[in-house]
Amino acid sequence: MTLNNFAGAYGNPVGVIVKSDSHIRYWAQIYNENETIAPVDPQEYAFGRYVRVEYPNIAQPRHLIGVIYDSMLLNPSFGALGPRLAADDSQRAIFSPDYLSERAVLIGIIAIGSMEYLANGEPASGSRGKEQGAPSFAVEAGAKVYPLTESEIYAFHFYEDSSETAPALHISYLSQMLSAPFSLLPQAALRILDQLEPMFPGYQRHLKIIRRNILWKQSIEPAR
Amino acid sequence: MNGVAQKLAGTTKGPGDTPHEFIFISTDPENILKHGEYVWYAIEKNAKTQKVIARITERADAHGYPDTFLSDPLIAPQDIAAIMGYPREQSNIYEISAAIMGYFDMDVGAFINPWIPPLPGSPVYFADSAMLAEALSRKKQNDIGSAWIGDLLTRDPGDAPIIIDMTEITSSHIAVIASTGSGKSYLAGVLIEELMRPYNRASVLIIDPHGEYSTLQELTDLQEFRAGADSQRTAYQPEVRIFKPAEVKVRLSTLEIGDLRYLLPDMTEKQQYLLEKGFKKMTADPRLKKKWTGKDLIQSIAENSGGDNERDDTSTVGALEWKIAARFVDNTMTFDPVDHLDLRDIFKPGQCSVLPLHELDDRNQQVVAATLLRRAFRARERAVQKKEPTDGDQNLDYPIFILIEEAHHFAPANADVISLRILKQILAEGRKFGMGIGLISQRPGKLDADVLSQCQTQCIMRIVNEMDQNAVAASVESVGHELLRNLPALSKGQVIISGAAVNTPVLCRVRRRITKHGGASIDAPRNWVESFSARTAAEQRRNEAISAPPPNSMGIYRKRPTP
Repeated sequence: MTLNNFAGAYGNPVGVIVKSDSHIRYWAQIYNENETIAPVDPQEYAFGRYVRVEYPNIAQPRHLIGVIYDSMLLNPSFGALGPRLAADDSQRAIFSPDYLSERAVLIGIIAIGSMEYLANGEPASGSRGKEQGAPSFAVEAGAKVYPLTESEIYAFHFYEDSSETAPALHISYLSQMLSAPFSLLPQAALRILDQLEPMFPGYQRHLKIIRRNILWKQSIEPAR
Repeated sequence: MNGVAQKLAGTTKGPGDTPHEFIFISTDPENILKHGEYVWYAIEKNAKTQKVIARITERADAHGYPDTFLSDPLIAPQDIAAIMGYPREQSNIYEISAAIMGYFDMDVGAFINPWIPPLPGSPVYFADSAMLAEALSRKKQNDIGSAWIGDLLTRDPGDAPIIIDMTEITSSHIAVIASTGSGKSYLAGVLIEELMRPYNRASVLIIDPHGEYSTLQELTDLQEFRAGADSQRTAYQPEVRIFKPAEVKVRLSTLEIGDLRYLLPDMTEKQQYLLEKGFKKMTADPRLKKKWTGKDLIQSIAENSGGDNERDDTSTVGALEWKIAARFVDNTMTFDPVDHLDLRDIFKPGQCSVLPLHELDDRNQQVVAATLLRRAFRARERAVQKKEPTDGDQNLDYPIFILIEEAHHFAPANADVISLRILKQILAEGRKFGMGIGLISQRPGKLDADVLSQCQTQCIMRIVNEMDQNAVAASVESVGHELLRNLPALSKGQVIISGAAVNTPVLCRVRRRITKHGGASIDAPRNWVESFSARTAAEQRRNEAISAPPPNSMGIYRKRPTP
C-alpha cells in the first residue's frame, strides 16, 4: 500500500467516535450511506491508516492523532435464526429497512499523540505544536474522525527544530504500539513504516532497521 | 583524604553477587569508570565518616540495544533509539559491579572491610588520585624502605604512584612472574634501582643465568642514585660489581655430600656408599676438612674401600675415580680447593652484585647457586644468633636480598634439584634472618608450587599459557580471581602487584627505568640485514682485490711490477 492509495476527500470525516476502551483506544463508527452524501471509500479507513479526531471543547484547534489498528462489523441480524420476511438486501430494504440501517463498520483507533492546527486547517509547524505518545486529552463520543493527509503525516513526524545531530524524524509512539497487548498492533506498525519510508528518504536505513526488528519479533521469535 | 572536591560516580542499585560486591548505576559521561578503577562510598563508623573504597570488577550496559539496531554499521543505534523517542544523550547507562576493599585504617595500616554494602540509592564517588596514592601504597615516596614501582594503571602517569614496601619484600620475598617479552626483567631492573637508591642502600645479589644485568653498572654514575651527607646519614654512591665468569668459583670444601651426589649423577648404590664413606673419612681429617682437592677425595675413597670382608671394590672405585676426576680434577673452572667467592665481597650495603652464570652448565649453575645460598644463609643465621663462624666464612651483619633470574631453573616443579632444598629453607626461615629472595620466572607452571606460594609479594605480568595461569591462580592466594582474569589482556609493562608489600592488589603501569634495559629482545631481522650487508661488502672487497702472482719454481713470491 502506498500513500497515494489514500488520496480521498480531504477534509471529509469518515465516521464518529462511539466508544472507548481506554484513554488511548477508541472505536469509531464509519458513516453508512444514509449518513453521507457519498459513501465513504474503504481506503480511507483501511488498516494502518493515520486518522485525526477533533477535540470539540479545546480552545486551541487541536486534534488527536491515531492509527487504525482493528475493525469490527455490527450486524443486528446476527444470531436471529427465525423465519424472515426478506431473503436478501433488496427485499430487506422494503420489508425491514432497520436491519440495514443498524448495520455498521467500527474501526479501532489507537491514539498516538495530538497535533495543533492553524486557522487555515494546516498543521502548526515546530515541535511545540505536537505531542507523540499518549495524548493529554481524551476525545468525546461523537467526535468526527478524519483521515490524515500525506502532508499532515509528514508534519506530525518531522521535528524541524531538532538539534543538528539528532534525527528530525520522530516515531516515539512506536514502542507504545509494540508493547500494547494486541496482536494486530505490530502489523499496524509495519503499515505505518510503509507510509513513512517514501516520505523520509534520508531515514530509509533507520526505518529498515526498525522494520527488521519488528519483523524478527513477529516472524522468527514466535517460531523459536 | 579530605579536602578534594568529591566527584559523583553513580547511585547504588543494591548488593552484588557476592557479599563483598555491590552494583551501582552510572551514565559515566566522562568515560572514567573503567574496569579496575576505584570508587568509594561513605559509612558511619564510630561516629566518624569512613570512605569505603571499592574496585570496579564488571561494567555492563544496562540499556543494551537490540541486535537488530546494531545491524547496519552506517547507522548509530542511538539514532534509531532517538527516532523511537529515546533521547540520544541518555543512551548510555551502565550497571557497574564493584568489589568492596574497605576503608583504610591508618592505625592498623590495612583495609578494613566493613561488611556493609552501600544502601540502595546512596551516592557512589569516584576515588581521586591523591586518596588512592595514600590508600594503596604502604610507604611514601623516597621514604626509607619505599620502592616506586610505577603508577596506577587506570590513572595518568604520575597521578597515583604505587610505592611498595621494601621491608616486606626483603623479609617475606617477592616473585615476578610473566611470559617472556612482557617486561619482567625490566620490572626487576626497576626493583634493583629502587633497592640501590639512597633511601634503601641495599645489599643485593643477582643470580643471572643469562648475563643480562650488566647495564646496571651505569647506576653508579647517575645522580639519582647519589646522596650527599646529612646529619643522619653519610654520603652515598652505590656500587655495582659484575663478577667475571672466571671469578665464579666454588671451594670444594663448601660442598656437602648431597652436592657431590648431585654433581656425580647416575651412581650405583655401591658407588654412593663408597663416596659417602670416603667423603666422611676425608672431612674428619682436620687437615683436609677445609681444604680438600679432588685428588684427596679419590685417595680417601681408594683408601677406605675394600676393607674388612675382602670384597673387590676395584672396579667400582675405578669408575668413581673417573667420575670425580672428570668433575673436580680436570674441570677446575668452577671448583677450586681454595678459591671461592667471598661473601663480604658479594654482599655489602649499597652494593649490587651480579653473578653471571651463563658460562656454566645446568648442574654447575644449580650447585653454585645452592652453595652460595647456603653459605649466605648460614652467615646470616650465625650473625642473628650471635654465633662465631666455624666453616671459614665470615658472618654477614646486615640483611641481604638475592634476586634469582630464571627461578624455575633453580626450583623446578617435579624435579629434585640441589638448589631447591636450600631455597625452600630460606623462603621459610629467611624472615627471621633478614634474608630476602626475589624469584623471577616466565614459567610459573614449571616452578615449584611451595616456592611460589612462599613469596608473599607477587608481581604478575601478562601470562597467556593456561598451565601457567592455573599455576599462578593455585599458588597466589592474595590476588582475586577477577584480577587474574586480566592476565592475558595485560600489555607490556603492566603488572598486577599483590601481597604483603601493598595494601591491596593493584594494577600498575611499571615506571620508566633510570638505567638502560639489558634484557630486551634481539632485533633479528635488523641484525640479519646489517650482517648480510657487512658480509657482501667483505666478499666484494675480496673479489676486487688484485690476486697475487703465484710463487716461482723456487717457491719465492715475486713482487708484482708496478703498473
